[in-house]
Amino acid sequence: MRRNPFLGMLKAKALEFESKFILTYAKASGVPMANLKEAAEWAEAYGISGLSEKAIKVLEPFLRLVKL
Amino acid sequence: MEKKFQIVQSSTNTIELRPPISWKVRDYLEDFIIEKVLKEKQIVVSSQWTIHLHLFFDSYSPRFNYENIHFFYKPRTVKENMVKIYNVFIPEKLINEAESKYEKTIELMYEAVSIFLTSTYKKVGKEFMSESWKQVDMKYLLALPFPAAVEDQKYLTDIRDEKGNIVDWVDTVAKDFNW
Repeated sequence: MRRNPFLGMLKAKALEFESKFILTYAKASGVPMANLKEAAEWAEAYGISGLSEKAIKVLEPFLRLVKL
Repeated sequence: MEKKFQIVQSSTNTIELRPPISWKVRDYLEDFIIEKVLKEKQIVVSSQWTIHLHLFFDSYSPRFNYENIHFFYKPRTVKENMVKIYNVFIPEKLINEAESKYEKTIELMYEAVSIFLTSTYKKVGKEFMSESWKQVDMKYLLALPFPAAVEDQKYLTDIRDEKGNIVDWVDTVAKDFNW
């Protein structure tokens, strides 16, 4: 089985990390959302429309995973 | 051999405040569901896909104020691993309000699994899941240590830091970037 390079994990496991990451980040920022898909869309939209440089740097690898 | 049905556990709370439940609870529930439900109903076990049911214990915040368990029926499918990931949110306040927090956590985990199965597979009815609940070995589960040691909780993003302590990987990223 091919492994995702992200932390040497299976891609499925990396996506689960991503879900937890986005949810925690969104929650810390007080962003309302109905589900993780919305959370990912939110994160991506913020990445485009002016989230801090630091935050974009953190989110970048995860946002790439969302697009895969 | 990899289980065809796996429960993944996360919390949006800190390590100190999340439900301190042993990984053996979900290990038992996985085996129980595979034996008593999936094999019985001939679902999932013979499929090419493996199911990951991602349970989020969700701490309260003004904009995340669910009153009940929420199941998101559209999975994320990862074809290269042949995995379908389903997400379920369990509000922690349901646990915090309970008299026996441990028992309530187990009940909610089973309820989350039931919601997933009854919403996803026509062959599995609510009554069947309620009846099956009576066969869960609560004596075994309640004999497990609670609160479980942090290293025995094995939440999804638990990692060891350079000192060998268990930390949440997301928290380490958050600290690095001053959230």
